[in-house]
Amino acid sequence: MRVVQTFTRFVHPAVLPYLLILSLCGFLLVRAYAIPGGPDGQLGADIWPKTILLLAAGTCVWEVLRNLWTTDIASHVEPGPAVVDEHEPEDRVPPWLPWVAIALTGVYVLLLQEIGYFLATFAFTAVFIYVGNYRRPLAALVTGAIAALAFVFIFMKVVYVALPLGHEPFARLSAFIMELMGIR
Amino acid sequence: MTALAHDLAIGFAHVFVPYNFGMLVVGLLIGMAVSIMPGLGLVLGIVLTLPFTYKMAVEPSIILLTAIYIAGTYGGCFTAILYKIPGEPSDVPLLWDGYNMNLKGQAAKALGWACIAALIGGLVSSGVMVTLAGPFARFALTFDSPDYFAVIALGLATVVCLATSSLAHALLSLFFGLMIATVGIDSTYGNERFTFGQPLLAGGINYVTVLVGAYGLGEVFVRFGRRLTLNGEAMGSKVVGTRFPSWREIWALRGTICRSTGLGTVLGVVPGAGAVITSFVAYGIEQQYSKRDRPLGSGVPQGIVAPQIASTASVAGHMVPLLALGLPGSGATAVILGAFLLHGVQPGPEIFVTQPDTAYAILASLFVGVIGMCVIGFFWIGLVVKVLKIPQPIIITIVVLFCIVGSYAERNNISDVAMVVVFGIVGYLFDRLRFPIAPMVLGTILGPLAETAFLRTMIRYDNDWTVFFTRPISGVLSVLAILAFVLPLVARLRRSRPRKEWRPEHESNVRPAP
Repeated sequence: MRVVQTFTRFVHPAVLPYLLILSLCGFLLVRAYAIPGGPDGQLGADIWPKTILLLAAGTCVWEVLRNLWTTDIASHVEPGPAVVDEHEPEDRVPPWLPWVAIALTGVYVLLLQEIGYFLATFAFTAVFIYVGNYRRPLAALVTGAIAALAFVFIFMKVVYVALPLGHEPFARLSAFIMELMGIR
Repeated sequence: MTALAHDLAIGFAHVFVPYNFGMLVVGLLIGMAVSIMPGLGLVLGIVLTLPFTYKMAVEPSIILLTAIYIAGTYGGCFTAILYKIPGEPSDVPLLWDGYNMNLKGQAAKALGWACIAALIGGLVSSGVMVTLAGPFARFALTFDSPDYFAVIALGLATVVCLATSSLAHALLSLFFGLMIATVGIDSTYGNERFTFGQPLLAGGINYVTVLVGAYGLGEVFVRFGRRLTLNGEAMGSKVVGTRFPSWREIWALRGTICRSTGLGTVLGVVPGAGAVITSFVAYGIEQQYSKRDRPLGSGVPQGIVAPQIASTASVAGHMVPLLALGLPGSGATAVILGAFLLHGVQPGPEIFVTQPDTAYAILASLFVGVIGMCVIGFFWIGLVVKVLKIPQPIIITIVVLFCIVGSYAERNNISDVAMVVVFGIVGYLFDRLRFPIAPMVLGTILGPLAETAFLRTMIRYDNDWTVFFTRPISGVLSVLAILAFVLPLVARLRRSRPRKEWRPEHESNVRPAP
């Protein structure tokens, strides 16, 4: 029972993030010791990261101890980096929705090289708007097309950025769009 | 004084070069636009505009970004007064009285007061700070490497001012930013650090990816966690004009104007005290010291004038330390410093010697920007109503597109885009765990400068760390840095101790009507 209680204290949201950061500091500190020191007794490139990591670790230890001592873990409400949803009930959305947005953005980045900027942006914009509570498929598709064309025009024609064209057969479509816009 | 007038005249001539002036106007429009959209904000506006400056010269780039910064402190007053929506956090105090004036049918007058306040605060503060910039820079030219390290340490220590909920969180955010800056090949000895054998990390982590990811994508992911509004934020489509107060009315508020201008300028110089803090402090000071018929929060002009003057005045207060010392005091100036570095220019005292035209053009652009934003503001209301009707899902999707293409544009490298997404997730987690982003950004940008100054000092002075305390300039700055770090810590510890309940007599009036 005592072991369970101790474990509960350490995995509590008021303590756990600091323990995770502390572990990360420990790991990086080990890596920092692999950095060569300076020549002839001079301080080397290792001193700066080591100092930062020790300060970060010290801050974590301080917060862990402070939270363990001052927080009633059983009835913990406020202190520490606990995740608190302070929005009105009607503003709440499924908690996984931001992660869907992150996943969509990740897929978009992966698709950029494969299908080219225009197609990837068109698809991403339409889906992202739709997932973001704008449930009008046609409007989302039209907005996606306009946004993709506008960004291609602004960044390729005006700012001269070589946006990805994608692999065949998508590269041909990208080239066609560029030709339509007079981009060479 | 004559030399200053001469330099400033040349600066004005540079500002009115058509391309530079065009960038200034574009910057003002962007700043006004982003600050009326809740969730975007002036820092994000600067971040999203940064990629467009890659191919520009340094002068129009910084004029553009500075104009966004200035206008961002003013544009949000429209939505605050008309719709009770603070476009920027700094507009919250202004909202309490501005919206109440609107409810009384005095919206046009409230907008007029905000415009006059921004004009006075911006011009007076710019005048004071421009006068001080030259002496500031000449003094800074005497700095040696320990002094540079001490001044950067002061900047990093005062980051505790950016701590919103927890000092520990602000510090951990800062350390995280400093660690990000150590990834890659170190500039002094050429050793590889924390690359884990990944070629992607060998070149280090570009601070632009940190800025764009944490501020831009992070904010988008955070917004996804709330219900995005489809019909915009507009409540009705009432369009009002702007009605300026009379000279007599302005004269009657001379005390408020003087207090808030002084406060905004002084607090602007303090690293960490951005427009948000200055506007809240100005409102609080006004609450306590101004003489008026009705309490603040009931729709009185003092409640608009004080926070608006202070937040606009803080811009010049922040820009001058950035130019003269290379020290950014806020998230916005950190991004502007990043823009300087992207163009291979290190802000600091040398810029007044090597590129005085550029330095004074930027300072002159503060004056032109303040006047320009007030002129634009006069005609702005119709657009505010239209912009607020754009569904939020469309706005945030466009923000994502800007973030992605902006991060790609710098080096045409898809790895940079992936890194931006990673820092977008970091930004989202920071928000969820209540870690402030600004210290991380400051750490990422100032970290390499601090490390170089530190190692250079250690090499020159045979590892004698006491040099930071024995030299007069670095000694004073080091002590100030320690105080800046320790005093808030002590204050928080004292606050956390249980004590007898005490309520000041005026506290019942303190809470303004929301």
